[in-house]
Amino acid sequence: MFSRRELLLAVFALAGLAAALAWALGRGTLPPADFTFANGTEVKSLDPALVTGQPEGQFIYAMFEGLVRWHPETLEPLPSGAERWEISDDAVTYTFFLRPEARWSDGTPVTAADYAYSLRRFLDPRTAAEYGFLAWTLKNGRRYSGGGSAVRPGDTVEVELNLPTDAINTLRGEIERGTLVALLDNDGKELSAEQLEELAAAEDADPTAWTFVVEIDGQRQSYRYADDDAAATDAPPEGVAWCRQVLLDFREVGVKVVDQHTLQLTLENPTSYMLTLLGFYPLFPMQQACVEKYGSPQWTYVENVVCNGPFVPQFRRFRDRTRLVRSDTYWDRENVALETVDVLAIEKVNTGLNLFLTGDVDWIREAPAQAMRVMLNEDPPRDDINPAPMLNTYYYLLNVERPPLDDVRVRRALALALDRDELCGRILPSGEQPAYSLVPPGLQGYDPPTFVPADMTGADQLDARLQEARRLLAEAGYPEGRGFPRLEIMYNTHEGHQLIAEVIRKQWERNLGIVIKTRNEEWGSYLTSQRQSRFDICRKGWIGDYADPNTFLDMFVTGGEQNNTNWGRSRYDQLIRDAAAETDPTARLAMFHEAEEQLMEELPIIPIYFYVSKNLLKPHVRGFYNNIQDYHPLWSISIDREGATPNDFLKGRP
Amino acid sequence: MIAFCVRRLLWMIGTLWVVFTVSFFLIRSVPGGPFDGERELPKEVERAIRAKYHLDDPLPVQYWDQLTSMATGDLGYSLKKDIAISKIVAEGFPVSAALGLLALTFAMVLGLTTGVISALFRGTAGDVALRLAATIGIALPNFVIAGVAIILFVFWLPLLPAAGWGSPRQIILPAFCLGAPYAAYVARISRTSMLDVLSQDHIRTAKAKGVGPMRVALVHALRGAMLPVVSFLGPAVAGILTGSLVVEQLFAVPGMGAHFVNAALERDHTLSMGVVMLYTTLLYTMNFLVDMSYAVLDPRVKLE
Amino acid sequence: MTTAPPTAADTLAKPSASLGQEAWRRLKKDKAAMTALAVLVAIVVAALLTPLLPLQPPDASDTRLEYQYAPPTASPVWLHNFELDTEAIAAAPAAVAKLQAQLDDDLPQLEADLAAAEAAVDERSADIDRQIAEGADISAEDKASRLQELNAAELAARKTIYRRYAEIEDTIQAPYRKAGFPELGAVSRWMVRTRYAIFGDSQFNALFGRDLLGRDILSRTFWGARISLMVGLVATIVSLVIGVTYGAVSGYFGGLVDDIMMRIVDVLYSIPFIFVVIFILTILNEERIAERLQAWGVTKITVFYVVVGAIYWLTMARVVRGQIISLKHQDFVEAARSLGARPARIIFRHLLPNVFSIVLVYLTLTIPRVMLFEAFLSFLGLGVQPPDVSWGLLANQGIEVITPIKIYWWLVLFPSLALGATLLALNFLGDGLRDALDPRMKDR
Repeated sequence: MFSRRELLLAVFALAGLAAALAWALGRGTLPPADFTFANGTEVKSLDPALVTGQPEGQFIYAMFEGLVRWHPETLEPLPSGAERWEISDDAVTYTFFLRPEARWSDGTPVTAADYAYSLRRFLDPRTAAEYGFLAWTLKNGRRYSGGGSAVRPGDTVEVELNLPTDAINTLRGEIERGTLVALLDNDGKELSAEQLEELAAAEDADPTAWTFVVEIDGQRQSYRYADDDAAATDAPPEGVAWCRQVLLDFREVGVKVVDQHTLQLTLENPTSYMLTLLGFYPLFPMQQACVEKYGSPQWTYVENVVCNGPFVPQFRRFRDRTRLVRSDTYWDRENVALETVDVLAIEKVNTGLNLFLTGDVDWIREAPAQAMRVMLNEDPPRDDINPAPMLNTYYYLLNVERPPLDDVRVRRALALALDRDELCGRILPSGEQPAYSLVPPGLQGYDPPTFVPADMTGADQLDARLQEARRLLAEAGYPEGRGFPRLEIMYNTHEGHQLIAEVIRKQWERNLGIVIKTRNEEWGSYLTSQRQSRFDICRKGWIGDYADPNTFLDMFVTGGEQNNTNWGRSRYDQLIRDAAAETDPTARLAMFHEAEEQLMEELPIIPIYFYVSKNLLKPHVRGFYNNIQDYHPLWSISIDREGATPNDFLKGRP
Repeated sequence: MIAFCVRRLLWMIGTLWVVFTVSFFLIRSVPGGPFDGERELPKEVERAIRAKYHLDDPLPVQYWDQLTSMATGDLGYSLKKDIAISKIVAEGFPVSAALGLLALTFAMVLGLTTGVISALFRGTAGDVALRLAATIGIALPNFVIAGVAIILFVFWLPLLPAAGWGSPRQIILPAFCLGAPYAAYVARISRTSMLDVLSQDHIRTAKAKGVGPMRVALVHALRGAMLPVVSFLGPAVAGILTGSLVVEQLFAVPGMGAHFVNAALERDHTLSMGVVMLYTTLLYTMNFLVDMSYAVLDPRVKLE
Repeated sequence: MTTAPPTAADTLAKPSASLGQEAWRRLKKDKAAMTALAVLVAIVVAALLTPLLPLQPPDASDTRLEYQYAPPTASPVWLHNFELDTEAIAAAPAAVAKLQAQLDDDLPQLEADLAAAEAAVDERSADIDRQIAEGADISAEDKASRLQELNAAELAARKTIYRRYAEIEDTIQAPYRKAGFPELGAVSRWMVRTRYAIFGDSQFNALFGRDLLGRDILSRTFWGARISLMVGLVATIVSLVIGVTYGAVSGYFGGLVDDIMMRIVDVLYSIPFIFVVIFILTILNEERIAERLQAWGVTKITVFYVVVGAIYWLTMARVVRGQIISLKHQDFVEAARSLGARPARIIFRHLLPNVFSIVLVYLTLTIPRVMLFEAFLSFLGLGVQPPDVSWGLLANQGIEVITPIKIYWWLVLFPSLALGATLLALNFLGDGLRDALDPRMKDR
């Protein structure tokens, strides 16, 4: 009936199917963990120095531990890696006394040298840590991470020599220490101090083209940059040696190992949030032996990694599931309630919600907006949801070089004519708060200035605001919007941003009689357009890195990386600089206040709303608190299925 | 036969090289880089990162480096996830392939059955109903089918788990959602080509000779009717085996499909190149098998 | 016994009146096909005449709670709150004339400014090139930075002109925009005015429900049809022409030609189209190019049709090739060849008509995919942008609104229904056409 060839084809197809099925079924099922949560997209890495996102942070907080750890509710820094510390009177020297019983997961003690190693690696330009600027608070930290372009004749420097190309990529080359005598450019001419400053100011310095003349033990030696491949194959020019890089001598940086359990950090300026910063995951330590044995990124793989936190990873399936188990060597293991934790990589919020509703996960960070609206309005109120304010602001950047946005009256009119109460009350699902300032409220001792008088920010004051907006627009030469050029709102493709842009477009058209277009771009193009200031109006969101106004306000210094508005004022820059050096906390906050007042006066940005956290948490989870950083360490979490009282998460629910 | 295979192999190498070259330059010419984020990096850091991943080398150097390492089978590391691309493929592809094979089986069985029945009982109410179902399968976007299926079989009738990967029960829903549109396509195509074949001379001759109608349909007509289905499925199989973004995301399946879109959007250049090359190889293999199967299915076709 | 195929071939290639009439007569007898044809015509007419219908404007939003996600309602069927500022419309031509006159006055000066700015750029550029030629060490980046200021001046001059034109356009559109319409062409504006004259302030209630912004889904479905049908039609025709010709040629000639042509298809299949789209977009967004295109009247949408068509011909080519390969050794082809027919004649007269039925099926499969694909392209920034709307965009909203907590079914159902109905009609019509054109079916 069928030919032999056809039968053969059928047999092959069936065999393939059977094999696939057998494989798919062969993975087996696992016993459920004590606590399972959806952690968003798969993490980029588990290397504390290299990651920046919230899902990554969740892992690092579980696997590693810094000098301090934050209280899960108040975020106050508590002793953890360090047992206690002393701060000098001028507030620039911090001495940490490490906990002697702290252990790595391989049983060896955690020492001051480990911390120093990690901070050095964090600052090393070859590590390329995105969060590296956080450690610029350390004395000479910025200069160290500037590498060859930051050293000047007269500095003591360290020259890192090349290694064979097959060396582990985390190993450092041999270090030569000496004094930098001169810098020569490509043609062998010496670079003058002025030239160097000019290059540095224009961010044009290219140390790979320079020759570094260093005096080592009385001998002059010249070095040029080369990567290991080039160093292995090409002979250096006459009288010059290859090196990987030239750095400021690390001994000049404010990191000092006093003894095995004492670490001294010296700061560039007194930094009031330094202790808090040390509890932030990028500054956590890693074990030198482990990093240098396996190389990066292999040292972070489950089978290799050595960590000092409350949990260690048991296995990791890419884009699926990572299982963490309580560490046997963690100093506070008696107080860690969870024995196993499953971290799921879930990309779609709908999927997370489905799993939460079927009881497969205990915690999700976010639910789809539409579902969120319904859940928040349920009666009786649900016992697993409680949005809370966060340190995040959503705002629009205005390109102040493009007319008519160069006119402050126009910018003000746009800011005033935006009906934030419609947006927050009706469009956004979770009780987001209208923003009339850049810095969110909730920072201790700081009451952010608003761009309209505080008594004009109410929902009932809309008409007054609109009147003012129309008056300003007329004053600027566009009565009732006549003759006002088309403006374009640019946003990256996402339903949420699109919705907000649409609503704002309608509001401006309705309230001011002007014409607004919207343009969406996919992520990469959007970022490029933003960077090159190719927009009229562009959406942006900012998550505060630490609980201090500086994390918001230092963005808008002239030429700042996040300041794509072309706006810049020397007075503002001065205030931000002064605040960094100010020791008195009250005076410092007053400076920030003045700076933000100027920002809100000139409005190169339009604040729109403050985010809220959108966690959904099963009622049987205890030790989980709402806080402005949306920080939820696993060590404080426990499970209590019998508990009758509502859990801490629901505290403060209206 | 052997000459045919060798020639195709040579063609395949050529094709791979062309695809590599075009993709490489296309990928580098779009705006945005892998290390752009909401937070713009300080210049020093950005420069250091680019140097670390050799993105500061001249383009021809990068091209040559990547071409040679690919040629030796080294796909490199993803720029956005600290993991070797070979490992991403090794973990993701079997998942996608297993899911895809199931979906494909489902699509073929359901699609061919309905297509043949539809053709044999052309014009009846049953035919119209089946065609209606097929049209719905084509018209509904994947995520709508998946969303409705989840609500039906997870929440209303709690028969199946909502998402995840590992147990047999977790495979059913994603396989169904992945296969449904293909089943609809197969049904449409097989119905039409079946009708074509049924009206051809050799079928009439067979009928005239007194061969039973069922036997005519299944042995003589089905074979001819398979041709268009197979040439549709060739490229489709490469797509189905490498997974689907929507289905993988909705059911949290750790397959390959998401990378095709996400790597591009995230500008993960190396991963993009990796999945493109994998896809090309698969596609080429599938098309080759399709061309082979023409010969198997239709004795009149000779492999030239 | 090779009577049938040539007959079918001739039917298509040289439709003599009698054969065409014969096919049409047969098609008329096919009730399903005729119903489908009627439905299709109705859909197309409805799409064309949408601005004339008493529907709520597609972008008119109302975010009061009772409107947000309001489910479908038919009580009352009619609302009486449609507003069109006829005074503003009446006043617009005068304002436009004034602006136009001003522009006409200023234009020589503006264009002279632009020309001067362009000349300055060219001059400086040539100057730098000369320096380079003389051995000065100027990198491409240096050159760009030296030209930056002049380029900016040129762009500003260009923008000034563009802005003046935009102002005129905005003055015309303003009253319609205010009512909640997307940008309208002259005919559509006329239809909106006529509609206001006929129906006054009456408009249908939200029979299909409303979305988050309180916009009427009924109206959005109708307005979406305009774009989606256009996309489906144009993109499919492009893919049909390229795909069928390419596949037929490749399949007929076979050998090396076939190998090369099919490898090209393989390459095109494999190249990640996302990058292609982003690449095209980048070029289109380059301000100079964008404005040149605008001057030629080429919009992003036009480019988008071509892109979609160019992506979807690949499968068509493979399928047609497969069919041709299996057909080309049949007796009637050999007969034609032995009679000395040229390849072009054999392909187009004898072979293609025989793959007609499978091509028709492919068309009906391609159209919906193109329509849904359009939504994905909008995601990348190409395609439809709000306030314009399409079925794909509407269907895409469904991703978020189907959750176990609450299903806003009307947001998904109606656009899908519209798409489904169109498809179903296309399918039945396609089948009917196939039968009508295929004389072998006569005795069945």
